[in-house]
Amino acid sequence: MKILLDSWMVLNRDGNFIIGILFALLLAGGIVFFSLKVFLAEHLTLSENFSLSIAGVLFSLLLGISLLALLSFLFKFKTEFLFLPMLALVYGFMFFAARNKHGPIQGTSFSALALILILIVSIYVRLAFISRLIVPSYFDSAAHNLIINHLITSYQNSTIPTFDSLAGGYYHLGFHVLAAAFSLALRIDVKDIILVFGQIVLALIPLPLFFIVKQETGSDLSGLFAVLLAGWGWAMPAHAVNWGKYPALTSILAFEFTLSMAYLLLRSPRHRKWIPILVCVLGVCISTFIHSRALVLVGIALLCALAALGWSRLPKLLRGLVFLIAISGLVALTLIILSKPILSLALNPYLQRSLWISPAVVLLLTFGCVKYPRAMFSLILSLILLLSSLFVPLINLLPGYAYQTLLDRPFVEMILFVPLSILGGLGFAGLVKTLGRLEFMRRLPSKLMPGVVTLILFGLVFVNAVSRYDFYPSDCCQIFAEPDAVAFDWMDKNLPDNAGILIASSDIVLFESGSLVSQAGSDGGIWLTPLIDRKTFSMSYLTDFNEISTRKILAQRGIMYIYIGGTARSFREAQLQNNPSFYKLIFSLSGAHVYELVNVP
Amino acid sequence: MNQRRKTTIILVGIILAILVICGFLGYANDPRRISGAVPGNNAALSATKILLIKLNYCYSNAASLCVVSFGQDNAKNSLIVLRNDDPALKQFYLKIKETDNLQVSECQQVQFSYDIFYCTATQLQDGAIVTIEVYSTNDNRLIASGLLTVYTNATPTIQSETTNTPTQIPTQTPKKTTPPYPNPSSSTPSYP
Repeated sequence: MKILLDSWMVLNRDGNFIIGILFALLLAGGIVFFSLKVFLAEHLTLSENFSLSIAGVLFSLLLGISLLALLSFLFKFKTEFLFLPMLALVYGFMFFAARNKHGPIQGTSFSALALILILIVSIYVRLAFISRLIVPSYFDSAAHNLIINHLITSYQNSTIPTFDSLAGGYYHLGFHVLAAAFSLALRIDVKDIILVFGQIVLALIPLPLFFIVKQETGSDLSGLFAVLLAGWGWAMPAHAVNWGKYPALTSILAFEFTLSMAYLLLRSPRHRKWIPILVCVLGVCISTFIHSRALVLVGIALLCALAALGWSRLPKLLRGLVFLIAISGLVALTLIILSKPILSLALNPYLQRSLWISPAVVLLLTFGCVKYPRAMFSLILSLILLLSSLFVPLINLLPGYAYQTLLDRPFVEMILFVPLSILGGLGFAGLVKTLGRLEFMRRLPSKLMPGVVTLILFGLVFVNAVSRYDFYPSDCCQIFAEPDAVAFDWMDKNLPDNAGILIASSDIVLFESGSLVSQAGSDGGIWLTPLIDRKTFSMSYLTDFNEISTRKILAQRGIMYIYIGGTARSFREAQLQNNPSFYKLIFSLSGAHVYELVNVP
Repeated sequence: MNQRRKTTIILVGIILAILVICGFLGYANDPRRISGAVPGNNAALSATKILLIKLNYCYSNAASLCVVSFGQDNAKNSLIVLRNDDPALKQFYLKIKETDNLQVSECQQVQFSYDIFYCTATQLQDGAIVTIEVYSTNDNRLIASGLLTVYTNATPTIQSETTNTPTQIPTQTPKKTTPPYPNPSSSTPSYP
């Protein structure tokens, strides 16, 4: 009940721009929906079209925004009308869809309604997450906010931002472009757009999985089961919002669209193959634009599809042997990863936090293997490749990153739900088919067995969601709290505009080798630049302020103030308190302190 | 009835049901209705006197009007940070009574937050017991009142506050937002 009330509070508070964002997404989805109806009407049911349209929302939105931004540059129309021309596109496609000679889309309307209901409930429930957040979680979000601010300023000044001007060459810009467009069109603060749009993207992510599972199995219930698993089966992908991994999450949705279109490509009639090919190529570009790691995902998906095709042509005995080797490889890889302290975190949401769901999926795997061996082989291979990518080093490939792996641990942790959910969906269909062939089951009413299986497995996900799912921000990653907000407000009104402020940072480790990625802000101070546009300098939270050399460094950098937030990785205040002749306390709240440097050497 | 019409009817039904549920929840939980702050609502206004909010520290994230913490600025002014979830109450001031001393403190909303406000008062001693009254600026109506012990270095927990003695104050902020960074072998954080 608390969740419902908190979501309601958010709707009351942010309802105007939540509706604005949803309207833009509806337009974008409408374009995909009606264009699919025009070009591929005879191949898709209503629910499949809906699922695919949800996946294509970002595709359509990013293409539309690029076009509209160009038009806006040329014709200088007001940013409030940024999404209006998309309405014309929707009507255009709707008109052609109505004239489509292929006739209405056939299909089961029940599953389309179920998908719509899941989407509405998901969006509503996920709003509770942001009911108490002032800014998005963790240090990544502050960087995103800064980049979006840069994009907005560039747009308003009609200048094209350089690669380096955007936070030192950050290159996952798709999410930022979308957020900037929303912020400009709706005239809403960037941090609020990130918070709301992030939750809406989370609610959209599970729905496209319906399409692939439905196409593969022909079963609506299996598709819905995959959607429920993806949405509420594991802590991921939702937990990634706590890390501020918005671009990565957004890229998952775009990747799902590319994957679905590639799947459709294999099944589309020859005379119209150019359409899915074109959309696939654009989909790869857009997914990569949103997050470059999506390109790795596309590569893995392609490799798995080809390998599964080759595997299916092997002699039966050899096929079984290769399948066993793949399963053994997956188990061995899982054990190796579990033995690594940092990498093992990638499996935490699947092995520790969702105790009922993962064993159920493993159980379903056996039924899936019997009925859909090729697809299951492809999925097992994808799991192997995803986990293996944690060990593939990329040295000096990306500017500013000396050491990387093909996929980093958080990204793998985030994406594992996709193959696992599809696997669960196929397993569900396999179980129903297997049970349906048993002699004693045939004597029962035809709908009884599928009904019982549905009740048990859907119930399992529901009980897991109610009892184990965390709908609120994790304590792990909230570096900005109420005292920080008050301190920032006070600083904005009382400190000079050009004041250099020192903030705390800490090293961050992603790789087992211990290679440092970079220093990251470790308390609320990281938000000083995005929120009040102050110049900040970061130093390790372990900095010894008793040292004369530290004071000299501060003086050399022109630092006039030191900000201390309320996390365990904030500067140690006792050192400043012990040196009142050098550090003067000018603002003090439990959880936020500001010191001024005096008697600078 | 064909399939398409059935779908439309069910869809419209679902949307209507959601709207009705949302409307009911919104009405039931509308803070203006509960606090009687809806203009022109006489019955509600008279109820306000009865529903005077008891001002206390914010012990949880539950929606309320409460004191987050006390602090201090460079001019030795005391800062009183409040959380206020009532969207109808955007402008208010405090009357702070400490023994015989009464002062009025203007409050302002923090620019990055919907519900955090802070008020500036002349210095309050750590451990002092004060009566704080919250008044709406528009009509000088008393909204909330409470007796609080001033803790400037920490935010008290409900346990420490029940005794109402300064000696019970914890030295650390109990509602710490510190990330535990569960990284088993390294002192350097990863994505937790």
